[in-house]
Amino acid sequence: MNSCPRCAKSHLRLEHEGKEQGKVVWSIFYCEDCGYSFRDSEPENILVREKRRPFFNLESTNPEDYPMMMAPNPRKKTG
Amino acid sequence: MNKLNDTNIGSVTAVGSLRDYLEFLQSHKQFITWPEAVMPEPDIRNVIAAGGRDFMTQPAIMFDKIIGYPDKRLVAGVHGSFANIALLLGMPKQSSIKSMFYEMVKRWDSSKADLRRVDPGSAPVHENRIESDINLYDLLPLYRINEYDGGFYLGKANVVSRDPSDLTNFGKQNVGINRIQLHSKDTFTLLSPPVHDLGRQMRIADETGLPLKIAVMLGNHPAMALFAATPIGYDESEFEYASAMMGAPMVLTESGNGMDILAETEIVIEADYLPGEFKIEGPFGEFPGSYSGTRRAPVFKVTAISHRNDPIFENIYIGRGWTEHDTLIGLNTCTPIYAVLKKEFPEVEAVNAMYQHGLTGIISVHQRYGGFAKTVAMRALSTPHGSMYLKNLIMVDADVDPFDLTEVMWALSVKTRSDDIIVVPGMTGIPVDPASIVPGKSHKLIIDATTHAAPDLIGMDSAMVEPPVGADIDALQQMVSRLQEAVE
Repeated sequence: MNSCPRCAKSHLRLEHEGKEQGKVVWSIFYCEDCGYSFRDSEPENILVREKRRPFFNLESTNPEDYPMMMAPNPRKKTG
Repeated sequence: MNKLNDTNIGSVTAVGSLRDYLEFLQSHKQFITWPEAVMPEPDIRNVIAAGGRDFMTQPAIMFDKIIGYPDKRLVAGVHGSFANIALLLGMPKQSSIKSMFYEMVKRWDSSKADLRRVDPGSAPVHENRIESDINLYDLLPLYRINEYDGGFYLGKANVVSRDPSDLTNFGKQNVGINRIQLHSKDTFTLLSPPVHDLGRQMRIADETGLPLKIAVMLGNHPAMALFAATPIGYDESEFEYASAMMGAPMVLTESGNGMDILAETEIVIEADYLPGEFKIEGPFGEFPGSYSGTRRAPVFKVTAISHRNDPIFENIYIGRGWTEHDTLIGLNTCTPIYAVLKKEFPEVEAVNAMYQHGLTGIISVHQRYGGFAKTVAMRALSTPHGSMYLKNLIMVDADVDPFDLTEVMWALSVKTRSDDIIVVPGMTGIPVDPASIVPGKSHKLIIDATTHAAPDLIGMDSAMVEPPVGADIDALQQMVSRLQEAVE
């Protein structure tokens, strides 16, 4: 895999290889830009950006563009 | 893999672990092992979803031939049917949902808990200990739960945490189910809304700078997940409720990072909260039957793992209902709302809040006077669970069974009028409700479908038909059935 199916960027990290009798049967990748992870044995509607439901593709990988679930509370002053 | 262990579980009160419960389910034909090799995607999702179409009788399903995960075991659907919930309560697996509700109400008392402890050195969960080279991918047979989930999720993780500012307070120690998405071999994001106990503890850690540690229990005594998913008071213990509900001891030990954990849990992941660190999380197919959005979520770092020999990874299928989420959480969503209401309004007869964790609820009540049911409804909307989750509330008379939707529809059809419908806009809601105004804000709808009562005069010129009921009629019904079966 050269690019992320979800955001199309190319900073993929190989996370894990599944093996049967010593032979690699699939690999899990993680996108360091958008946090997506996938297995290269999944169907095309997951792995091929153009075949995915467009709703689930990301155009931005800037975290600031996404709402914060549980924004942290500010640190209380002590003393 | 047929034999789970060497014990013989005849009674549910003898169940001490997930393994015991699977054996118990097997003896009631409620547990199967999938015989064929499966790919993680889409096979596992497909099998679990297909089995779950019948939410009354689905068995738990074990997968032990997952391609690429040799020697790994995964189980789903442990709470995936009301038959499995009935067996957990020690009831016949054909029990009605309503009878299970009343059984649960009867046992709703944490004061009867029997908690015991074993030394960590002799606890099965610590049979294997990993403190370096941590790799969750190596440990867990992961699969994408819904096809457009943003990653690989632990959907049934029972997370133990302590109040950072009150570390020795056992009651404030929380066990909750939180969705967890892996982001590397030793980091994950975890979602807990601020109103949930863990969310509250994360806020305390943010404000004080005190460390927050958690222990993620995977593969537990089945009563644990039931109460990890139940809204109880902040200073009440899920361990105690689980023990009281079972009428049996819960055996605890200590995790490496100081949490109380079940001694026979299959896998425990110990982790530290990293305040201020966020990753893009989601989407995730959630219990309303919709995907949550893509958001930034807080990050945790794994510090150690303990697991039993040949551990079983327990996970869930969740999405558009009904799924295991609904059968796991349905009755124990009803019970705490009922318990709060009953104290103040003994006229409350039953609560059915099983629909999407209570987004729609039905309450039956003895009508004391005109408008009384609306008063009860208002209180239901301010209970700890109701304030956030209850969105659409239908009030029916005490002689209407809220668990029988035919009866509820009858009440809606003949009892309601326009001024019996109240909409309160802009109230607290849940972040994953796809109809939210903004995530976390929603309306409250009350439909009063109870009988008009004085001083209300409308409807006084009609009276309800009272069909024949009672033991004699039950016997006649059985006779009709027998005669029908005898027809050649």
